Amino acid sequence: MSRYEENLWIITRDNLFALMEVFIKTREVIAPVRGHGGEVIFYPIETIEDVAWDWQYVNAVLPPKRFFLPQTEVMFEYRHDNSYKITPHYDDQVRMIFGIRPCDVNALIFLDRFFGGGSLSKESTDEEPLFPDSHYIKRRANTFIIAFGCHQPGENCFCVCCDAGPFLEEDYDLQLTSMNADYVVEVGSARGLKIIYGNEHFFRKASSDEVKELERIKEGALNTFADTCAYVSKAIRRITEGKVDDSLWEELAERCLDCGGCSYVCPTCCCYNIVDIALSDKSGIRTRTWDSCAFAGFTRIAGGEILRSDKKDRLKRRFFHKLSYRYIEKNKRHGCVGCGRCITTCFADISMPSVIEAVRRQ
Amino acid sequence: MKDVLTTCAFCGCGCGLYLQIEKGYVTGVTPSQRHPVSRGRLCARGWHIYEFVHHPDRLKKPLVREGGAFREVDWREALDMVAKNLIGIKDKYGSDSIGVIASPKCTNEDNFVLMKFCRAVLGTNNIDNGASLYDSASLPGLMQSCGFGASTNSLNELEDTEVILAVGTDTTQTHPQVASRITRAISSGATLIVIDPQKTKISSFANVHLRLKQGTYVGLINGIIHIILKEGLINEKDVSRATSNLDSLKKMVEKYTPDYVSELCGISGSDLAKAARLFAKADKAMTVYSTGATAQAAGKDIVCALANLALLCGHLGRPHNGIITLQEQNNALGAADMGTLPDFYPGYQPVNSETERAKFESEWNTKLPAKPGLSILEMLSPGRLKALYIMGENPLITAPDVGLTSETLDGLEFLVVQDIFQTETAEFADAVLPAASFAEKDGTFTNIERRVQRVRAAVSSPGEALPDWKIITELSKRMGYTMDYGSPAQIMEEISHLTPIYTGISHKRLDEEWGLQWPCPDKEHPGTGVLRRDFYEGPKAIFPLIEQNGKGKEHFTPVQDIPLMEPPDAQYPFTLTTGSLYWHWHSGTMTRRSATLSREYPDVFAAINPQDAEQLGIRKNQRIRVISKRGEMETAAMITDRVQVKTVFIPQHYKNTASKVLLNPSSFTNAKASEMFCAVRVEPVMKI
Amino acid sequence: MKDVYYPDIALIDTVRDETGDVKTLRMRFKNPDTQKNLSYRSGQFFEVSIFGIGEMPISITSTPSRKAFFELSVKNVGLVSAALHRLPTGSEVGIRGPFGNGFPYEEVFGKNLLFVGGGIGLAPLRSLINNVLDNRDNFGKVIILYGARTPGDLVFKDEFKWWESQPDVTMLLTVDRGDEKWTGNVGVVTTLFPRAGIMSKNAVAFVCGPPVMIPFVIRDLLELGFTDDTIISTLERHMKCGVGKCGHCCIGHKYVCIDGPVFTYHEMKVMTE
Ligand SMILES: Cc1cc2nc3c(=O)[nH]c(=O)nc-3n(C[C@H](O)[C@H](O)[C@H](O)COP(=O)(O)OP(=O)(O)OC[C@H]3O[C@@H](n4cnc5c(N)ncnc54)[C@H](O)[C@@H]3O)c2cc1C
Ligand code: SF4
Ligand code: SF4
Ligand code: SF4
Ligand code: FES
Repeated sequence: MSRYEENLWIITRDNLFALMEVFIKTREVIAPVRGHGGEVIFYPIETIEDVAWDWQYVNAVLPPKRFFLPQTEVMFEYRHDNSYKITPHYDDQVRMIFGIRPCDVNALIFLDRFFGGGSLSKESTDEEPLFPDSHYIKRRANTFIIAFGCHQPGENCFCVCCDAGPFLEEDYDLQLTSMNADYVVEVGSARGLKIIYGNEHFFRKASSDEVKELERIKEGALNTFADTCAYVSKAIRRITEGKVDDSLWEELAERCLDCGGCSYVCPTCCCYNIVDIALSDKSGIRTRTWDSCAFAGFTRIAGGEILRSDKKDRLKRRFFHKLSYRYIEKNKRHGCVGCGRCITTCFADISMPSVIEAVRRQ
Repeated sequence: MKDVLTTCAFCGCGCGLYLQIEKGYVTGVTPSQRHPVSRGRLCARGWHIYEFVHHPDRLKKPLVREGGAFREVDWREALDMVAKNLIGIKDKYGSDSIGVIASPKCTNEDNFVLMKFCRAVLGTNNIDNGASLYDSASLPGLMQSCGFGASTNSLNELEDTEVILAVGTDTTQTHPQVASRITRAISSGATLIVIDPQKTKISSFANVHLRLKQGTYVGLINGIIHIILKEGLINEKDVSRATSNLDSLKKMVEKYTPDYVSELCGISGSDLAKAARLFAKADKAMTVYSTGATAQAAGKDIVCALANLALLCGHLGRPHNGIITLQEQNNALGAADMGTLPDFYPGYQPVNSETERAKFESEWNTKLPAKPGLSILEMLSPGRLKALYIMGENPLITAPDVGLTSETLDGLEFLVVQDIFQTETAEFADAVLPAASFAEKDGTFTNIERRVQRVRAAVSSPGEALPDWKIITELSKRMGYTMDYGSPAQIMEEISHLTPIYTGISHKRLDEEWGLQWPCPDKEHPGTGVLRRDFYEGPKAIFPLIEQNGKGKEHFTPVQDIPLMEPPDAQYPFTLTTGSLYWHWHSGTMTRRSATLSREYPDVFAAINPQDAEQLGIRKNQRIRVISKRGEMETAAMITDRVQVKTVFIPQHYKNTASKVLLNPSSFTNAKASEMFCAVRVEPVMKI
Repeated sequence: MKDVYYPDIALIDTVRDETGDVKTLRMRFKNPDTQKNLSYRSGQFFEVSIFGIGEMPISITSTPSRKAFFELSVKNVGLVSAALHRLPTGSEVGIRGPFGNGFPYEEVFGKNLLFVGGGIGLAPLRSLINNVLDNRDNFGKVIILYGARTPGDLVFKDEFKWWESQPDVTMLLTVDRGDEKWTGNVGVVTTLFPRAGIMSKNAVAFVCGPPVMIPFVIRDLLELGFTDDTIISTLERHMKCGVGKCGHCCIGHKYVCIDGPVFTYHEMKVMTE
């Protein structure tokens, strides 16, 4: 994949601002912004000044997943006059996500494969999906992504152990990395290159010194990770082979508060419920809403029986789904991108790193 | 797309969350990462709080009763009709024939305006709020003992304390944020003592779980105090410096010897001693308690006993040492702060004090009644009132006796209910006024750690629904008294002007921070995390009560145990208790309309111990009948050792409020506290 | 791209009461082309929508060998099923599918077939049974064993005569509890095994019924010489999407809605929650 050197460009901060102002006029631009009390959330920006330019923050609690699979989305609307008429709802907002991090890009590629059959940032998908999810695919097609390499990973990050960062190597359009006062731009796709050529006056080619400097930055970033998750593959093997003793899950189950947060904040979790809402006798909507395998009701069948009623089985399920080789085979990677969000959001301090560590110790 | 930062309305923790708005609809939530309570976490209720907001059942137009049915009318007609009737009743029977029930779910601003309306316009002190049904104990109990009827410390302090004493609280179900702080504390080495008849999720972490007989809390705590005194474990310095009345406490607990207490409570004497020593010897210890302790006739005594214990050991009034009272409703404390109480103006300024009354009379430019009003239980007793104005409360489900409550509501000449859904109570109303939900209005809630925080309008209300404060000001105008507020921020200005503990609070300041913890006596004051001793000795004006009964000192309030109102007997050998489930909240009006939350427990059930189940031949999910002296209900059995032997637990959130049919009406005659226990018999329903 | 969540409209032509709480609905797609192009395997299911209430998975109980309509048998157990039971003939419902893998059919040509059904579990089997009997020559001996709680809970009673009358078919019924009129066998379905003349050689067993029944049936079948691969059953899980996306039906690494609901005992044995 090394079209690397000829695809390296430089854009100055001022030019980047100018370029972004162009985009802001033509589409909804989402970027990490500082909300109340300085916390970071992904939010539509009005001017480029809104972006959290220092890039120094723990990942926003919610990943950009919500722009592709919102917590609630209307799938269709129905009306009954003499007969049922069904009108599907699709989100056709043109968007750009600016400043998305490599872990989240990798998570999107994971979702692309799951909902659409292959990576949707490529021009053609790898394979025909069995049941393509048109709601997801439409949103994804309408969204252009500019990623930001992480020269300074956050304190909860462990993407490096999950083959998901701190820099993207493939499957992206444009990746920016700050270098001194400017940004290095890596081009990962023809779509990305089109942007450069369409706005060539903003960019210049990187010099060979700058190429070297970028490598140094990348090396430097690698050294900032704590070695929390050096045992991912061990966890994968033991979980796949069923060699993790139930006592671990039992122990965690004692503390889990069934909040569902772990699924909701995880950028690769995508289970959903389907709920009809009657708005009148004759009309209504069908919605889908985020759901979580943490809930007992997730497997409730008529008559009241809950198939996965034991909390320990639900936790086991989560980590089996994330890490088991059976799923890696299906999804072409394991289901954790090392974003660290579950560390933030779990009431019980059950997170991917803590479980991997516990599996190792067991 | 828009995200609006606001405060969760599903429990007293008061998490910060963003509502996600898409095309005028709330479509999801994002937890606030830096908010001191949520810290990036929400419980299942918080994550799904948006699901009820746009529910098709939301009230959209005012309704007035005509014959047997409701008719939709416009606001003008509805308000004219309500004003006319209230004026008529006031003229005919006098002000004190009208009562007002305020809401621990509504904002401070809503409650303040309603309180003002009640006192200044209706001319009565008959006002109380729904939280008093569960916890009429903390306020007088803590007030008597430590000056304020509120938690003394902040939630985050729990993580760094050494010993946590958790009393009558199924914390994971009701206050997940508190529970997670408790488990975190345990992970970093803290000790947990649980006093609770039930097994709960947190009790599994307890170093000592005192599984006492229902109704013997006071005896048990006195027993602990007895041991502490006997073994000389009291914190001499604190006790002599800052407290009064130790001698009478000593005398009171004399009879609570370990033998006596272990017999009374059904626990082991060594566990009791272990708990006493752990608590007393700790350098830092905090007490948390909840409705399991307060929703009974002895509630206030239990609170006093806990305060005695904490004072005695010096576990009060210092960082990581204090009492946290876990009110379930999101704004239970705020509603009380706003003076929706029969005997207090905002900020706990007594109505029977000349000076306070004079202050409010001159500010409000009207005469105010001096006599304290009726409590909520008194108001809900048949025959006490002619008219009732209920804002955001559903007493038919939440009050302990559905029979008596419906008799009362039936007997009223005029009933107004202001709510977001057509509740069971609203079915009795003469006028139903559609109100805005928390997602549709501006204002403030005050959480269990006294943190006053912003609630922000994120979407417009369905149909013609209006914020509660707005409805009341419109009504007030029609009754000849103008309240001219342009916005809730202006209401807050009046609140802070009249309420010493809120003096420094304004919406502007709250917008800049993560809320402010009262007492906040001036515009620069950063708020008060710990109600400290030195603070008590500070500006006296803020603490009229301390002044009154403690001479600036905290006070021991000796109490003794009283039996349950209706102890089990041979014919009714089980004790029925009721309480909350994690998945539902309060009367369930909102959570039962959330697809995700209601999926967990779609129907009511009765939980019994496996031992009893076996004895009675009851299988999982089998239909059983629960029978009390007053009524019976049929429901499905859940079998779990979380409930004690000879105990039945029925959650409170469901429409067939059958558990209420069974509860004890004597709590109404006693009338100051409701008791959520009674004696019942359990039998399987024969299969036909 | 077809939206996999978009239901087609079907009309209820007739409703037949099978038992007190089971109805069989004969339906066809409103759009004649959709009906004409409908093809499915026995053992597949539809996601049935009652708009405003919800959606539920229901096995197609009619046989693909008979066109022009399809049939669903539905037990009234909850919100959606109750709403479906309330609909009069002529009503419209939403249908997505067919989904799921379906029973092996061509694969069992020439084999002896044993069907063991319990309660409403006969619904998916009925599709296969009729499909087999409509193409009788392709298969060996057929044994149908069916049990229900009471005589009143037996479904598809109208068809038993025809099944029995087909060449080389053994059909035995049983109930857990009889009534005055019941003269047949009383006991769980496995009590029929000794009398049915079952031979495991060149045979495949199809087992559908309530979860409590399955383990006992499988145990006895194994004793009779069936193997993990010749015992075929279906799994019931909470389902929403039917297309392998919503995650509800997952067990182990299988999505029951696309990898199932039909599994060999061999596959089921290794599944864990
Ligand atoms: C592959 C498959 C085939 C089925 N075939 C039939 C059939 O032919 N006849 C029949 O009567 N029943 C069948 N069932 C069971 C049927 O799907 C449930 O009885 C039905 O979903 C109950 O829905 P409800 O809304 O009435 O119940 P509620 O208890 O109100 O359920 C609410 C929702 O939960 C989900 N759900 C609940 N129970 C089940 C369940 N057992 N399986 C899957 N999802 C569930 C559904 O989405 C349902 O709409 C089948 C189930 C599966 C998985
Ligand atoms: S499991 Fe945790 S760290 Fe991994 S992707 Fe999900 S939220 Fe991020
Ligand atoms: S985030 Fe933690 S507490 Fe919440 S469901 Fe997941 S594991 Fe349980
Ligand atoms: S803990 Fe309480 S305040 Fe926080 S999200 Fe849950 S219900 Fe809301
Ligand atoms: S039903 Fe949705 S994944 Fe199977």
